[in-house]
Amino acid sequence: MFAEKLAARGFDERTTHYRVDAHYAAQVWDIAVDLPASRVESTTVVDELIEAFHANHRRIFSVEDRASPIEFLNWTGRLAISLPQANVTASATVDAVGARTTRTALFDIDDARETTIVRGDTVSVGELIVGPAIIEEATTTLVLPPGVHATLSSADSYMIEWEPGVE
Amino acid sequence: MDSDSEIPNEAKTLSPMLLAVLSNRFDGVVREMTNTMLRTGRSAVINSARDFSCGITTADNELFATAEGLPAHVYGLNLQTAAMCEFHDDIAEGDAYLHNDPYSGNSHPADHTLIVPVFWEGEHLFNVCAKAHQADIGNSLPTTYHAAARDVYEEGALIFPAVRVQRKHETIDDIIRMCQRRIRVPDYWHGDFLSMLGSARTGEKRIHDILQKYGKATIKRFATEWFDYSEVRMRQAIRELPAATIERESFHDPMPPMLPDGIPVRVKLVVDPIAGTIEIDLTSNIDCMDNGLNLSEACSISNSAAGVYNCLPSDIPRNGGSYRCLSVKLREGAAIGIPRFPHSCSVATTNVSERLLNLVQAALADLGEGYGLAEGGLGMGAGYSVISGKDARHEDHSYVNQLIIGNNGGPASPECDGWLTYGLPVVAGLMYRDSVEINELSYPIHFKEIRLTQDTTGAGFNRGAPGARITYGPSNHPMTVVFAADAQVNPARGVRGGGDGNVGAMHVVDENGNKTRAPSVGEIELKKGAWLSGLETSGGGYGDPLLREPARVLDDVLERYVSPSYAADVYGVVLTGQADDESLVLDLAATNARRAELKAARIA
Repeated sequence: MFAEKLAARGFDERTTHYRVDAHYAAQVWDIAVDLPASRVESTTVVDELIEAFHANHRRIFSVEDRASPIEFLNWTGRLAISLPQANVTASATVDAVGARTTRTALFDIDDARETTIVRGDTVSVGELIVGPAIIEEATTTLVLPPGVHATLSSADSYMIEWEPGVE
Repeated sequence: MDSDSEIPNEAKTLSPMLLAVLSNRFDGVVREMTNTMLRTGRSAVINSARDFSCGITTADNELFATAEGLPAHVYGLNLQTAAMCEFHDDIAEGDAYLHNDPYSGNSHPADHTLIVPVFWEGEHLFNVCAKAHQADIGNSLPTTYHAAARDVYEEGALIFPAVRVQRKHETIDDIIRMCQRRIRVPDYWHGDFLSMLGSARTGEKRIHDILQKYGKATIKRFATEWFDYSEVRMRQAIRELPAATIERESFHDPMPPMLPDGIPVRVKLVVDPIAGTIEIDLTSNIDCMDNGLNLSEACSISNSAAGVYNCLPSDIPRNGGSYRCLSVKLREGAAIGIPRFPHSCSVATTNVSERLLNLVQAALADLGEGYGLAEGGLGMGAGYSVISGKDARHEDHSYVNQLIIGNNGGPASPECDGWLTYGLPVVAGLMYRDSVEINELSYPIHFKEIRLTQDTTGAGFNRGAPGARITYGPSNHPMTVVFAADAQVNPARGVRGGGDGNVGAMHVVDENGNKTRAPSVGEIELKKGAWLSGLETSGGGYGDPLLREPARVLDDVLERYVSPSYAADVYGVVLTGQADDESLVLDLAATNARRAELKAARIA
């Protein structure tokens, strides 16, 4: 119903996802298991669900208990709608001229580096900042050690990458 | 002598940052192991109360990482992995061992320990250990604390001296079947066994992740340097203490008819700030007793060492490195020392251990103002008893479990009042508490009250924390309750002029409200309609109560830790007005007069 109403408004790219919280008999903490189908009507689906619980218990806790009954408790569904891609284009709000400085910073004992200091509000979309660098944002500070570089994405997020062995 | 000079400079190759990162990585492994056990355990003592600890030892059996493990559990993991190495010359990747033998390093038989040796590139580097207090271990009585057991045979526990339970990751089912034929509620036990196994295997995986990232050479170097760093920190802390030799004695309560005079607990401490060492001499203690209260070697060491660590800065790592600064002298065949087989150590982790830990930290208060701690509230009364019976709600399925829902108050320190949710000295507030709601769902039990008590705390410049009153009974069939309490005669002592905590008591209240005093050690059966009501104990105070700032006493009255009359009688603090209409205030002039009067009375 809710999904149909949203579809009528143009939000028709949707996925539905079901999961259930479960535990072995006498456990008091649950783990979630994805449902293999949208309805649990056949023994095949029940068997698949039981297998999925054992597998997830093993993945998280390294053991499973095939002799134990399993209690399935809270069944939940989640509807996800894909929103149209917002065209956010962040851009430098301050002229970059004079907004890059350098100072010496320690990246390890006896490892002082000449480090680029970047004011966050001067970075343009797609701009590459190569470590060693420090990006000073109004609310946080990002340290880019040698070998790490950052670019500002169109969604105004820093994408930080590290290439092992490269400085 | 400078201990720094003992560490060759060329060995110091890791940066302090990497040292900090790796120590936290390994503590992180221990925390993930802990989380695994808590989340997967079947018995409330594991999945709610967290009466278990995880830890890592090195392949040469030094205690390496313990995170928030219980002091009484973690020291001794090194002795247990040493026993595993001694008993088996074919230890291989994929093995797992079950150890609960108090004669080769375990705390007491109820603490089953799952040990997995961790290999990397074919080399045995670490052991991961998951140690959990079991709901049942097959004792002759439905309790994991058999105080009256003359020997290990009457105790009846199945003892596993590092018995292999997995080979090539396959469980050796013979052992599992043996346990399921002897341990009560075998399905719960097996679930808890899997929980320990999952915890240990998870720890193994995460150590592999660390080795994958940093390499074997760096991790081996780290272990050496981390132990050295821990030793330096410990030595520096001991160097700031005054030199002293302190002898002190206390008594576990009498347990008639078994122990009419109680059990003496003795320690001699030699604090040597020049060498940076503390010697803990326990050799003057009595011989092994014909009951279940003997300490294991692990408990003798861990609880006396915990008494010392409690009085030193809390960020000193508790591991084999800092432990190098302590020397614990033990005597073979002593009740507090090295137990002689087949004397029973069934109750080793709590009663006498609590006395020993309290004794050591209170002895350190003799170093002077600002040192040591008072004794903490103690005794496993109603709130820590083992309950068992049949559950009418579930086709009379049997149940057995230790309640961890009581509270003894913490000891006062030189800096502050006692910690409220302390529990027992041997767990020092690190355990969780059961949930009333989950206990009532899991077992046929009904709780009538759990409340903090008033006017019970050891008074002082800093006061102890209060204990609880707890009352419960069965919700259908009769319930067996087994307990081994203490501090119903000898309370937790205050130090440096601080007052003692209260003495505890347990009563059975029948359906007509008639109260009968219960023994401090024993077994009772409660029928529906009857209740067990326990008064638990508070911690001792630190320093003279007449020096406590009057405003803090007023706070205590407002919080109802103490009543106005107690404030006047014990603290000499006179209040006027009423708490109810918010008119309660200090009368400073009357307080000064009252305090002068109390001081004069003391001299007289």
